Amino acid sequence: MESLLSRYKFRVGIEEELFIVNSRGFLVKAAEPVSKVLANMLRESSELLEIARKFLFGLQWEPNPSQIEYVTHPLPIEAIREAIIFGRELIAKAAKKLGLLIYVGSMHPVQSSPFPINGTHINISVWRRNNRKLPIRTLQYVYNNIRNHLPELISLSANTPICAGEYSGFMSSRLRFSRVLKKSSFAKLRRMPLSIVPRSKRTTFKYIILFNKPKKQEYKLVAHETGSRLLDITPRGPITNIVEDYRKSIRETRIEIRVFDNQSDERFLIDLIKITLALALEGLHKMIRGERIKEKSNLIENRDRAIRDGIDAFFLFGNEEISAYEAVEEMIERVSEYLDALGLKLESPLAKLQPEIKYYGMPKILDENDILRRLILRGKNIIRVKLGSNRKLLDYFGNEINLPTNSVVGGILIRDYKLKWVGDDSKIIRRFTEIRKRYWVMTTDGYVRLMSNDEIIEAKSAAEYLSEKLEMMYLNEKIND
Amino acid sequence: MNFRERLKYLNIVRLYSNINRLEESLRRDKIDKALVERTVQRIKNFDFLERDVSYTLLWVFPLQIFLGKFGKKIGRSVNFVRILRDALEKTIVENTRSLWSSAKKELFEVAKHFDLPLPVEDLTRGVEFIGGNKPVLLTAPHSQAPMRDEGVEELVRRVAKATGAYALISRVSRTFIDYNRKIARLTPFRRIIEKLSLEENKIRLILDIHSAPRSNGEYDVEIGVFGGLSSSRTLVVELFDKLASHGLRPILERKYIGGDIIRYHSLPPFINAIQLEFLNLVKAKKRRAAEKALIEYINSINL
Repeated sequence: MESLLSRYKFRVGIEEELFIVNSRGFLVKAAEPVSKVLANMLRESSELLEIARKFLFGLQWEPNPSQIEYVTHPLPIEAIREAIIFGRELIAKAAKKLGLLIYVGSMHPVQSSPFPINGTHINISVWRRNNRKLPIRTLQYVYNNIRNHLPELISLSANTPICAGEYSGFMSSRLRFSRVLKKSSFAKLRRMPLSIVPRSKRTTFKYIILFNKPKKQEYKLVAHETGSRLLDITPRGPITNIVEDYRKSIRETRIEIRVFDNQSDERFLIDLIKITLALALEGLHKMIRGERIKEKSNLIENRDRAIRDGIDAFFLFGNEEISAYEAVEEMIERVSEYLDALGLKLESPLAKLQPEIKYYGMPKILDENDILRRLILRGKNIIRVKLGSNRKLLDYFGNEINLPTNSVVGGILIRDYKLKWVGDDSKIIRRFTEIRKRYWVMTTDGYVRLMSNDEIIEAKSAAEYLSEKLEMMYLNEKIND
Repeated sequence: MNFRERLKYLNIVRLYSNINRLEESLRRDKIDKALVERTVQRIKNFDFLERDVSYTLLWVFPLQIFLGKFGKKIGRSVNFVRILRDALEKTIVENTRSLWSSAKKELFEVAKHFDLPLPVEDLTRGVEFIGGNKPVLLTAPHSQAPMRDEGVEELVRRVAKATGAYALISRVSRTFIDYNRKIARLTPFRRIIEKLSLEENKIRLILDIHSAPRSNGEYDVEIGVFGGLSSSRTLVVELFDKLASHGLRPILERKYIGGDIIRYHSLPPFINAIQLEFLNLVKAKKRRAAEKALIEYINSINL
């Protein structure tokens, strides 16, 4: 083991996307103004700029303007905690100057249907201490060993059970609904012919022909047939068949793992990095021992089960089913040897097999009226209601008008939300703890709040309403007058 | 566009074709029974596609038609169908544009529920309405800090006072709710515009005023009319002339074709809507010129 560590060193890089939210906890499309403030902050303070240069590779905004991302340099594991805290704090400080906050979760509990989605990408790079080129097999072993443990890693990190204000039925809604993260496959070494390489949907050209490779065939590490990089786990660098990486430096060779949901508490994220690093070392050890790594049977099925049930899942191993707890426990026990060799120790409750979602508990959804909730889900939100008690109509100009009991009001069913969360110094929202929903009917004159004692006379969908109107027209009746 | 989205889009296009023919037949005072049945069936198809599609219809058509109160002029069958046709036309244009450009696919990006990101009580306090006697409405949806349009609030107040036009000024920052987006159609700001235009028939022209802090060597004000679908040509030409006569350089749809306010509330020739994006309005000289041009324009137009 010592000889192994004397020959190789590891570096870790983090890409973490964050949400920009307002003081009510809802998304704000303010990546551009926040970036502007960030640039000014760094320009004004040379000290801050120096620290940023030390830890961060860059700050960038994502396709959705309410997301912003920091990317760290490849750093030794000891420095990664500081880099994560610095990255989060820096963006939070800039957002605060605009009266905004950041939310470090993967999915917003309300404004996610199911997008936008955030994720944490962990990049593990293995370098030879003598700075010589890394053999291609090294990356293959590291990749395949980590990939074989994807179900366990997902069950430890999954923490997005809520999507669009409802429990989605999946512990990681992010992985379930992501259109980007495709399933990876077992990495193989392949002699790739010099040929037309598809660059699906990347540029206006659909294909690109590369002429600058003198060899007609060379070995490449292939984890996806067409060289897509947007997988749950991907080997990256010029020794892979990913077109974007062809011209990259050999020093950029790494494994990119995208399965992790954002962790609100840095301790959990650091421990996940440590476990991944230990798995990478285990892969290398297997290579040196001459062990072959085979793809685990039922890996894809177990991955799906982990996405659905998280740590409560049951994994298939051969014909047997074992609980995710057991599988994770076995993995942690096995890699503890490598953690010790690296001088690392798990510090978060993950060591006791408690993922973040179990440790802090699920967010509560408080719904005032279940019948109205179901009507909204079925799209039947043009309603007429008989009020069960006195009520006030809030008109569009801010006036209040009293409505007596048994008044009948009609209009469109809408709802509003109040969110509660746990956070730091009014800068960072860590976790949402409570989502409260209230129901209103929007009439032609204003809004009336609906209570559980109201009687729903009728509820229609937009299609039903329009159909009726047009049929009435055919019957030669006047519309709306 | 995936299969489901394509189906949704195709259904919208076919519905548009049916509604178009229905409008023609209504204008001739002949209602074709088979055509109405086909149109009704087409609308009912939306409920079969998936439950969320019902929301597509709600986002496409003005909410006022679902609330069931119209003014006398546009309450008759032919005008009811016309509103449907006009809304579908704008939706198709908007989505067809996104087919060949990187523009957002609005039809498929709408929220699946009617949810508000602010408590209703806060929203009803989030708008300032200035009554008027001219059929013109000035809107300033981004007039509250942070991330506000500088100089717009003052401009709107002065113009409204001088001309007697109606005005709506936002009292909530766009970081809480952006009144120029689809989600804001449920808010008092947008409902007041809909009531004034569709229900009470008090306004015929909406001027949606914005500003950008940067200066531009090429032009001073950018006019957006949703590719010509939101306003009659005469009103835009007159506005161009008035702005130019006060030393401002107007340009048509260089960067912005218009936001949701002008897209959703326009129904030309009854209700016209124009978006104005002034550059560098913080400069007093530019602000005075903009003020004079708008006052003269509102006083001179014949609606």
